[in-house]
Amino acid sequence: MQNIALIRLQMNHLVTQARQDIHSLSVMDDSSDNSQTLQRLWDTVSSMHFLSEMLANQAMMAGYYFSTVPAPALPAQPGTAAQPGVPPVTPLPNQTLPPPGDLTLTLQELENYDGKNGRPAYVAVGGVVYDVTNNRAWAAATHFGLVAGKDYTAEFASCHAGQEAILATLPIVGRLA
Amino acid sequence: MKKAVLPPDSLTNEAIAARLTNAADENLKKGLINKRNLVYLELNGCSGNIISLLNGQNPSFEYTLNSLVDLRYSNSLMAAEGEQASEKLMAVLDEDFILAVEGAVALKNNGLYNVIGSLDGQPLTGLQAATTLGERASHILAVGACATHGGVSAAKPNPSESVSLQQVLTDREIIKLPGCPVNPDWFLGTLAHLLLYGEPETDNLGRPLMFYSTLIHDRCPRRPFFDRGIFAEKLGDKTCLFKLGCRGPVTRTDCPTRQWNGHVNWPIGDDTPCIGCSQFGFPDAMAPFISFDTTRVVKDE
Amino acid sequence: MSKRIVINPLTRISGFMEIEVTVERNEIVDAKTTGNLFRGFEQMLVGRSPFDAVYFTQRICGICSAAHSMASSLALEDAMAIEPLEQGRYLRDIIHCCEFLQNHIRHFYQYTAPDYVFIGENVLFQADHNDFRLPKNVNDRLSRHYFESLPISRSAHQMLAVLGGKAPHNHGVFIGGITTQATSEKIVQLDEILQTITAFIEEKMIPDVYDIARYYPEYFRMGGGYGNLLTYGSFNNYKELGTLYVDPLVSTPESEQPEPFDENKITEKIDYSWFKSKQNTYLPDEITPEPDRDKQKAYSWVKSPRYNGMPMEVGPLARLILSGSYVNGISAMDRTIARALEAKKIADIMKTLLKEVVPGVDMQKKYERPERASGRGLVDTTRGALGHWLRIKDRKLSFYQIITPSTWDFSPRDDKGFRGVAEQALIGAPVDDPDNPAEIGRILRSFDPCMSCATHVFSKGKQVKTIKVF
Repeated sequence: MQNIALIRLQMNHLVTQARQDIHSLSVMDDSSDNSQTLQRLWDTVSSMHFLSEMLANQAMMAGYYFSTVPAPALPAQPGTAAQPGVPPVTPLPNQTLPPPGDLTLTLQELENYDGKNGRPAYVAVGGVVYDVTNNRAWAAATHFGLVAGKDYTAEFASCHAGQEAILATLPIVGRLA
Repeated sequence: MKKAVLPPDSLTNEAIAARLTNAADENLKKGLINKRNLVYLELNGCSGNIISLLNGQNPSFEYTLNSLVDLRYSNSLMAAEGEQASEKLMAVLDEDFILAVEGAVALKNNGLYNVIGSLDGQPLTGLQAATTLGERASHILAVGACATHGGVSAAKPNPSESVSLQQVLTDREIIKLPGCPVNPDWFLGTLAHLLLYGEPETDNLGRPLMFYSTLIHDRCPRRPFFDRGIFAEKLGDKTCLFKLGCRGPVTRTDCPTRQWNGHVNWPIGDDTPCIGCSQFGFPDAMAPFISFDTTRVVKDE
Repeated sequence: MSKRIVINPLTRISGFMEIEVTVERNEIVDAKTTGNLFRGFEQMLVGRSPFDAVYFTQRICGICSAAHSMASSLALEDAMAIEPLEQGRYLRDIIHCCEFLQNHIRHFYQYTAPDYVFIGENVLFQADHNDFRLPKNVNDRLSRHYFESLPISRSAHQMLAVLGGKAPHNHGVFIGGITTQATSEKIVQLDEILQTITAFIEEKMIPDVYDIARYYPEYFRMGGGYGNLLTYGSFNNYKELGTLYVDPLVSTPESEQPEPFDENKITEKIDYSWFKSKQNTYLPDEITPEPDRDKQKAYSWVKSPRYNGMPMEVGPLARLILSGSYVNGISAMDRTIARALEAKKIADIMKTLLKEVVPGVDMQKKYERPERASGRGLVDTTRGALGHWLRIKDRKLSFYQIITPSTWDFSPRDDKGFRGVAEQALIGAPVDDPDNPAEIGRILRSFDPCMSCATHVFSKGKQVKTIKVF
């Protein structure tokens, strides 16, 4: 429920967090590890900025905008009509519900998930199909010269050797047939 | 030695300013900074980094010239020309000097695709200059994308067979300042650090941490839009430019806070995606720069 | 007895250039210019996304990058049949004005002035010749202005960044105009900086150039060349404002008045260039020839653009004369004066355009890459006429041709025996002291050569026996 009361609660939480950080910065003797605190402060302020924008929008649109819970929608299937009027809303990465992961795609089918025209962007590594639609390293569904919709098992092995942890952070959508 | 200001010295603004400048000059002569030699080599590139350095404000290029370094060689700025210029370059070899290089090193035809002068009637290639000076320099700065990793000069199909400075100076430690062009503060700040405190702390790729430590994405004022999935569909929009191909999430610079040209603006502030010009691999690995075909096509938009 | 003089590098230009002249009885009788840098942008662009050309081609040149963003945007608009809003043109042309101002101020003070002014004791300013004639008070003033000009040219780039994100290599110029919208705050920010720059040009730069002219009067009789002039047009053809500077025009010493420019009369020749193709003369949108370093007779990798078969001079002096606002003549000194006078003209044009800007106009759309198209963008930029010709196939660039102003001015000979414009300008020039020739560099720099733009290569095997004069 994202009503004004909830936003206020979040805002208060952020203010508390920021005050705490400012306090710890002011008493910290060793300046070497304040970058982490500064980073958190930055993120806190960014979130507060976002919430205030949201409040302003809400005030202007008289509650229309956020009257419904933004469903953490699964990636739309190719060709399905867009939900009219509502801007595309994607959830925070760590709030993503694990998708069913039971999709089975052929390499040819995988090519449809190229991130174009609002379609999701999928890539396959080691037979598993991952969703990189909103992965930050995949802007415009491209990643260091690679395009989405393909099997990158070999590329992953050569560029991210020993970094299998990266895969663990990606939502799984299914397997290659 | 000039004496302190006493009447009847002029009290116009200009005269006072001149006296203050003189005083500052004298202080510098007293040794806050011991000027060192700087050789600025332009190799296979667009000479955009030296233009960017002229844009420097903190410190300014004038200050750099007058108070930080003796600029012993710069193709764009030095008064001498011809072999006399090349001889000035070679004369530095016997002294202590810092070497700054912009542009890539062209390897094709043994370097003849980039000739930077002549010496004893023979062409002096960028390759020769880079290796000869690179072996003797006390510190080496690779300035801009072409010098740090080949950059645009080495873009596919790389007709001049251009490579980074490191590839021809494999044994030397090189401070790398990627960017297309480099932000003048990154270069002049690194240079100042070098002169005052020695080499700055760098990451495992040789970039000074004071400028290149944080992802643009992590300090981007439009980050909240990314986190909430609100994306721009065209240039000029005020939301997250991720779907247009923004490389901020993979590029480490302080652009969001430092900005450009005296802090007035930066690419994302201009409503365009970051094209990752300061990321290794630019331009090929950062292409396409702008994509309009990722977001839904809505009729009657 | 003839003497050969080689100057390499020709410093205080953008990029690398070698000049080789033959001197007989203290007069230049032959001249060859060579660019010493090759990167091959036309090959790199094939296969890339058409939209990327705007940012990619800027990397051709660090001092005039905005020019390439202009030409590539115009070429893409032509290919995609997009007509920008008038507001888009105004804002884009304002960015271009900033580039002119940055260039002209830096070229005059940092590149040209050290030829005539003893700047100071700094090791950077040690010259090869002693021909410094300015009286001490004038010399002191000009050398002070060398440093005072730095914050001024810097602020021109700052204006560029206000609308273009950053400079060099801006993000603002694009299809349809510029990427962002003007705001009242940005408009007054630009106006304030522009006032300072205008005052500097009027009170310092223009008087300074005339001071140099007064003490070096023989340069009004040197470096003339063919006298063929060309412009693709500059700040012209606005719907409501008409032409603020100059329309596309050409003239030769025989013309009574300038004639309209016809783009179909542009050809490129490779008779004396290290390139091969099925024909040695072709249209710009026709062929990008293959390199061939073993070609007989060729002595340079610079191609030779010609208009109606003639080499043409391009740049500030050509524009001023063709627009009817300069009549003194064509020479090295006239070129240098023209650059300062044009700086003032550009500042006035920018002021006019700023007055027309309406804040908040969004001129950007979600563009689609055409399946197949072709287009060209011709625009006069700082150094003169710049053209980009492109073709798109399968939504990717399949052909790209660039003819830069410095290619017009620094081409080699052609099959008709015409030398390049700068080569010709050197012929007949006196060289007082062949061991310390000040004249050659001064004449060449009057053209403001940009070898970063001219994508040439060095020709191996051209080891003429040279008398070392430096």
